[in-house]
Amino acid sequence: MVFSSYLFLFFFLTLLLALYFLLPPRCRGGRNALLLAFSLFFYLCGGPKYLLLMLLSIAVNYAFGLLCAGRRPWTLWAAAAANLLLLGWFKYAAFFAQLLNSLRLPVPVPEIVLPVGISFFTFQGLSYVIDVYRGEAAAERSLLRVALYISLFPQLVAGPIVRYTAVAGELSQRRESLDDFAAGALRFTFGLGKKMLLANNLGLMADDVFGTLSLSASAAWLGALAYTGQIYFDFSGYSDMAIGLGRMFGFHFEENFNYPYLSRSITEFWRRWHMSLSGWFRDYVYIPLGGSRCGTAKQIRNVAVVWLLTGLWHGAAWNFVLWGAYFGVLLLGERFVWRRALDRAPGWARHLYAMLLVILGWVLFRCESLTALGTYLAAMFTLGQGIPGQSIYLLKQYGFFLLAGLLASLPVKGWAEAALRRQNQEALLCWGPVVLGLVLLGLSFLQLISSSFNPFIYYRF
Amino acid sequence: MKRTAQLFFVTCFLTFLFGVAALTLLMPKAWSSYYENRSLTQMPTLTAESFLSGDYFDSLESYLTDHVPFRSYLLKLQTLLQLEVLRQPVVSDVLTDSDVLLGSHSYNDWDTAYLSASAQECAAGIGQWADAAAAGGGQLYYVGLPEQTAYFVDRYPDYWRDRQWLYDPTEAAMEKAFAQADIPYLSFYERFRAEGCPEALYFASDHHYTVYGALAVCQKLLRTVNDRQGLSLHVPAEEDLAFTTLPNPFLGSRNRKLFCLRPMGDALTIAQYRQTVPFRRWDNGTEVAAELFLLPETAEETVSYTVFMGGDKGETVVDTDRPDLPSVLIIGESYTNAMETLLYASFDEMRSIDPRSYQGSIADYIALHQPEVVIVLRDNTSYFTALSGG
Repeated sequence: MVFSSYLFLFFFLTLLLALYFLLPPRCRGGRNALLLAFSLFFYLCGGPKYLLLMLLSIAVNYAFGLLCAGRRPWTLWAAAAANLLLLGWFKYAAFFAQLLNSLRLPVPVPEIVLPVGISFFTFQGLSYVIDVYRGEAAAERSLLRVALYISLFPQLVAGPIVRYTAVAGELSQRRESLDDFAAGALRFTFGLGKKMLLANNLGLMADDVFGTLSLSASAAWLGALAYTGQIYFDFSGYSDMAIGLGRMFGFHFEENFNYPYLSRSITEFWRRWHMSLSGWFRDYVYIPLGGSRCGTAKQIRNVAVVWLLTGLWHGAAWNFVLWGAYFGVLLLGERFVWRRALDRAPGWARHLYAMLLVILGWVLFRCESLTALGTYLAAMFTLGQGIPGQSIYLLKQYGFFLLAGLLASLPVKGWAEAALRRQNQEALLCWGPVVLGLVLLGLSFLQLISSSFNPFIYYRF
Repeated sequence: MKRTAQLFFVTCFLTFLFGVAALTLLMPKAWSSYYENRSLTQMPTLTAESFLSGDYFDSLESYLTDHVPFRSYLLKLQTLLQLEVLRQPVVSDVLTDSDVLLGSHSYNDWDTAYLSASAQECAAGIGQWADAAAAGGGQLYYVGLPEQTAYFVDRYPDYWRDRQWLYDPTEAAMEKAFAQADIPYLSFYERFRAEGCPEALYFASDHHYTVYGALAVCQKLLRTVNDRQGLSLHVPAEEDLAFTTLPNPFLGSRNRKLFCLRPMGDALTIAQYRQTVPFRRWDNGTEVAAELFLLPETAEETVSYTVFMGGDKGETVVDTDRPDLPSVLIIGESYTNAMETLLYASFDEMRSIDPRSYQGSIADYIALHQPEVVIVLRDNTSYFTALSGG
């Protein structure tokens, strides 16, 4: 089940809201138990057999949380091994088996269906035990609260990866309020709009282009732009919905995106894109390895390790490994090779540089084989042999969404609010987002019922 | 003011969620969607297998989105937004950026080397029916029609990749394969193109030909039959027919997908013989009223191509009780319907089989009824789609 589904919006969410707010606020345990039950049901809808895996992950992390409180190193290693073993088996076993086979070491390739959201909830579980081990959080004695932290449905299948320390207090003591509910619901509708109206339409455009065998250069660039928009609005829309849903129930999750396409370097891009994942790798891998406070060789090693893992985290396939390596190399380049040149370049040139590399990165991410990647890049950078008219069609069919996507990837909201404040337009400041939210809700609903095209890219991670 | 706005939004948000949920549960459920021309998903049955695989919830989602309250109105609104606000050239797989509504397709080209083998396979399959016809003293003719998208191939906008690159070699391959198999092949794709594809022969908002198109095909076909078999079947001329244009709004298949928002000025015309030829009619073995057209009761009702012969039937028999004339069997999909309203008058008995719904073996059917003339009539986009019914 995804948030942008009929079942979720009109049955799961309505029933949960009704039951949750019927329980008195003082009945925190009851509200938490209800949230847990609904979260487990939410996960169950994606394939009940993997619910056992989720319950196992909860039990393992609950037990290791208690053990890690003693701060004995073996407990942390054992917790990490248990979590990574689960993730490794379900996500990477087939990939590594194929790798061994290609190295002429015949091993059977297991046929494993990737459990929904395993990368996200495994990282949350690890975050909990590591924080407890480090003494940054107290071990939670309530199994219900650990279970709720790991399985809480808003961030369960696609993040943001919520750090235990960020919500530990709210698991036991939080206050739901009209302010939070209204802000959360509004955030949810904006996220839904991003997903349904922008990501899905740009996704259709990207599929149109990436499914064409012979592309002109202009069509290839339009397709790359469309995918650049799709993946951003898809993922950030989902994050908005998750953050909004959390807020409706009194949780305050950290932001996951900060207008990444405004970046003027790749380093800045990764500070703005999927911030919860970047932060996780920074705090639990990069810094423990020595971070940037060590010699050049070790810094290179640390960046390489983090970006190999980041690539693999996104998927067990060579294009993701290559994608991780691509960004690792760019980040190292910006740190050691062309930083000064980049610093001296005018703002527009830096922005162009960053966006060009980001777009190429998404092409790497989107192409499922090296052959497909080579063909696509060749179409982008040579005069492709495709039909020139396709670009005209793409612009006629999807131009509105490209333009809307361009606007929505800029901090227009902040600019508009600042302008309205300067002019003391209180009414517009209050009612503008409300009206826009309701319009987006209506349009998203129309899109939901009229199109069967409703993929979600990060669902498979 | 901020609190009022918050309360207003929360009220609207919750009313929307709970209202839609309640209406979804309470409103009566439809079985089919008229405009989409399809059956709607029915409530899935919960089984251990479907539950464990997660398929149950996917099916439930399909069921719910198919039974949204006021779904047709909402889909029409969405179509209107796409057509009038976004001005998208392709809506619901229909290309609207032309003076006729056309089918849309991808920009992909592919190697057409397979066409020769596919055409030979098609000719070999039809050859079995031709043999069955010949065994009973009859002759089979294959009639290849351009689908409306192929007929109006020159009407695609300049930026569109039309499929003439596919249609031309397809016709060439079919003609060659049928010539090798010694089966008469009548290609109307080339013929209509040579005549400049007159507008009157095909609908602008539907994928079929009009009665004028059917008449042109019927005339050419009957002349060919007469020449080939030495028969003197009556070839209908325009003067033999009274043409009536129905006052009703015409619902073309492509316009139907657009919720009737692009009628393109089409109207349905039928042709009736001035000199009536009495007949009896059976559909799927049951005698029905001796009618060739399913006409609306009022002038306000929409009409569609299904007016011809009352739409698709598995088997139709029209008997004019003139044993001195030969009999005909026509095999094909909906394109046969308009043709049948003209063809029956030239034969003693006309049988029609729609292979999509006829369950038996067509070779056995030919052997059983031994028609003197067997016509297979297909549009060029379905040449290589297997005909069922043996």
